[in-house]
Amino acid sequence: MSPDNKDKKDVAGSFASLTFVGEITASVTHELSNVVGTIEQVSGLIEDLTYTPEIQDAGIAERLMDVVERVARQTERGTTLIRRLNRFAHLADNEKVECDLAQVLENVAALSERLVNLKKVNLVTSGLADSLPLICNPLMVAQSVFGMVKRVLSTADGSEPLRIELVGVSRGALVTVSARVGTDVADDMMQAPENLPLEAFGGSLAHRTENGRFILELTVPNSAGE
Amino acid sequence: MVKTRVLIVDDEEDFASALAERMRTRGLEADCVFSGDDALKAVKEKVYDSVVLDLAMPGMDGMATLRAMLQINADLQVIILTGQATVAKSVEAVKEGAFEFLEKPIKLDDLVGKIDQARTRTIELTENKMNDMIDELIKRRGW
Repeated sequence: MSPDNKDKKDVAGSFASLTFVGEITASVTHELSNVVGTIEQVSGLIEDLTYTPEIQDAGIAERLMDVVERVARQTERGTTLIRRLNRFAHLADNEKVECDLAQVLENVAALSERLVNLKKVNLVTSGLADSLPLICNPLMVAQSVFGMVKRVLSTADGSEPLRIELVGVSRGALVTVSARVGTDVADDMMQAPENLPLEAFGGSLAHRTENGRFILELTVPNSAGE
Repeated sequence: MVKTRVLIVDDEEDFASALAERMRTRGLEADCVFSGDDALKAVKEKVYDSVVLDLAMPGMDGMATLRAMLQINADLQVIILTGQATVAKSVEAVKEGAFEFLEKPIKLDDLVGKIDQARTRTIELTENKMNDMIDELIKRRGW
């Protein structure tokens, strides 16, 4: 087998592994939806029972409703997370597919938000509300953008939000991740991260510093017709 | 007023039982079964205004149950309620004759709203059939 063919086989094999992880994760999210759905109905049943004379007379209706409301808040939170995780897991369904890149990145941004907030940095996005259809490998684009977020976050001082921006450009899209740099950040941190799967979708990554902000720019080509 | 009759079909027994109990507190006549086979028995034995049906069930799954139920009663209004919602499945379910496709978890008020719509549809279908029968009778008798 030639080295080139071996590489292709390795790439196909590793994507098959990711598809397996995605498939199992998506399946589990469906089960989790059932769990949350059941908790929600049982909690709703407790709420219904608070209106019965027995509970009203016992004077505990208000306390029970407080419990029900707390459960409701958490089931709503769980539902949102499950839907996001499900959408994320389905990114591994296809190596190359037409997708709405704005929707993919909106999900990546939402799933990254906690990681960003843990560093006391806020996350803002722009350009993700409007649809941007593109043929690409959505999982590899998502992985690259997440890698960019992690790199930029490691340099951020938190005085300004970390920004993820998406714009359509001729023959593709441009994703920009940026943040204001802290004073004690080493120069070698302000480089484009290595080991991002750019080759998988023909992407290219550039970096620069401008007005105190470290900026990473990812070009995602539209693979239509390839 | 006649109560709205609902059949809940879901192998998640805690879910189906809690949902049925909550519907009863809202004045609906709700039964629940936990498999596709039992759902078919239920719709043969009793007329329901709507069926709330899960998709992923062991044995006969939701889609097969939907098809079999509509063979028993073509006018049955079936609401799919699933934790496995995808666009492809919702399109398939509606093509197969489902009245509505909803995703778990769901607020009970939203589900009851859909059940009311399903009942209205059942009433419309029944009225249309009655009118057709009357027209046919008038034609045949030459009245």
